[in-house]
Amino acid sequence: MALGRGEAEAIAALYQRHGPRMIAFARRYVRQQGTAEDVVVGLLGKWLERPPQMSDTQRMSAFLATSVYHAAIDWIRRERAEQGQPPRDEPAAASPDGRRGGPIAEPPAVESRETLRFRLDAALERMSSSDRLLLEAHYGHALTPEDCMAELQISRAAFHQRLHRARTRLAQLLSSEEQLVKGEGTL
Amino acid sequence: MSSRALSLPELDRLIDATGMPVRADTLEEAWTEGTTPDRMSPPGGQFLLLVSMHAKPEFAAQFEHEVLDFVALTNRLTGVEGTTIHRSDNDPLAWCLLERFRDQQALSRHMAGEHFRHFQFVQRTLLAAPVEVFFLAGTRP
Repeated sequence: MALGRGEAEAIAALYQRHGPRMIAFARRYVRQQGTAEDVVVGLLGKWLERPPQMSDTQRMSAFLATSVYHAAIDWIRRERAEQGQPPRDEPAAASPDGRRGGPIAEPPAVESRETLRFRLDAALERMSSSDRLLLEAHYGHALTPEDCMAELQISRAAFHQRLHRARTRLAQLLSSEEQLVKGEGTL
Repeated sequence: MSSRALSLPELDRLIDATGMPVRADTLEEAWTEGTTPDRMSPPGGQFLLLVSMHAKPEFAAQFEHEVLDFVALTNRLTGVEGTTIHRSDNDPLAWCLLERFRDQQALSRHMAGEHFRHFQFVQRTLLAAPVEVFFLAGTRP
């Protein structure tokens, strides 16, 4: 596929057909129209350098949604870093007096981001699809709360109640995943 | 760490550290909801051009120097909203420009500039084939 080879003509054709949708989708996450355009043009530039990996069976809408979402999230992370806010992967960095921010990172030097992600993935696998959707909306901002309520056909009150339950369930599962990881480590 | 369940603030910090993995199906659903015609901005007067170029192997280094100069000069012009240069990882001789102009006047000013005339000469000398220009936004003048 020409897109997978990073051919300029294919990338141009993709933008001519889907560009306004890509920008509208990026705007869900970065809010400003100009910033959404920056995100999408940046994504095109990335594809011109490194062709996108798209499987033959993947739908175009799924491919574009995933690509634009990650480009927008990367943009937000860079903005946060440039504005002096702690990067998302360093929330428990030592304070000036050497104290740690909280017990979740204990021991931060041992439990890498990859290990945490592995535990999170494993815990999410054990959750219901609707609970995952609530968490993806809340933490990943993948859907607006309104979209999520419509998808699950629930009221706003039910949304908040179920979200709280889903977060609690995930916290419990993560604790049990941690025990499993520790158990495997001692075998 | 003890075997007690995480508190919700601890959970929030963990997810802040790792990011929340989002399923492709969820994003596709969001795409469907978020890209309906009423959510798309009408086209403005902007121009977005994609220019594809392929350097002759013997002039690779010289072309790189020239194209970087051209980008720097273009970005100094009023009405230019950003010109970026991209080199293919797979083919180091393949280069693309992404050029954004606020409006037709900005594009015309750019095309009337000395830097533009010089770069056209560069193209004739250092490129293996004529450039390909795609108008991604705006209509070719």
